[in-house]
Amino acid sequence: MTRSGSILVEVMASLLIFTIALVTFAGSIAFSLKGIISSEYVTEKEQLYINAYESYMINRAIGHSVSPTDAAFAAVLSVPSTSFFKIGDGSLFRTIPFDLYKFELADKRDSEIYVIQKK
Amino acid sequence: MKTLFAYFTAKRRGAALFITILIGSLLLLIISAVAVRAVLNTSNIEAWQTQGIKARRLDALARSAANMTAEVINSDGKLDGFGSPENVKAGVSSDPTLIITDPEKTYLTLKLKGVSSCDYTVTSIASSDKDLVVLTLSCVLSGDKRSLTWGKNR
Repeated sequence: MTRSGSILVEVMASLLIFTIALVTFAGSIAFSLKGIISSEYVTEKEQLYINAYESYMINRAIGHSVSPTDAAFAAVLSVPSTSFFKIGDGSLFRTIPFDLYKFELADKRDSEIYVIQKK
Repeated sequence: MKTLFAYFTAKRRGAALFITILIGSLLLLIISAVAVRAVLNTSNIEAWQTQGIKARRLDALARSAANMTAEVINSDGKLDGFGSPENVKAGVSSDPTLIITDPEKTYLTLKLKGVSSCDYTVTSIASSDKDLVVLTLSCVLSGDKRSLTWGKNR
């Protein structure tokens, strides 16, 4: 039996399904592209951050007098009372007081790198 | 199989639209899969780099501590302050010192062994609950120049 208008209903149902699929896939593509761009930005920032720390360490190993405040991202931290090393043989100690510095990437968890330097 | 083939080749109303929608959906699915795959790959790289920073945390503390000890020895110009010459030659060390508590408790221990300010080895041990880094800094006199060698064991 042929019902008038059945083709129109089928076409509309097909278009509806296709539109839903289209919107879903387009959304996933947009989300993916956003993620890719964001990741690229974060990766670049992390690399610059690591370079800043490495640059500081190399300069310090060579120059001995570089301050971490020369490097980007560094922050001086308050350290607990045990802010010194006592190296010795039991009867004689050399006390080395130190400051603790922190390199940190803003808005990135677990990105802290700490260095210590003689006071 | 024959029935299936006949189904797709039969001339029926709406078949062209159906096939068009099917192929369009498949294309979109493939493009989406490629995009999602790219996101997963970039996320993996990001996670790997963050993991590298975590591993670097202990390295940084150990390196800076060893370097600090070398700076002190360099400015002192002698090893006398660290103990008697016999004991320093045999090796002296510090107690494990708590350096940071966040994101995890990390301790540093410094060891020194040597005979003069131009001939010594500093061992710096940075340890947390999960990891341990042992770093050595050796200084030897070659000619009239001091040579520093860094080494690392995990």
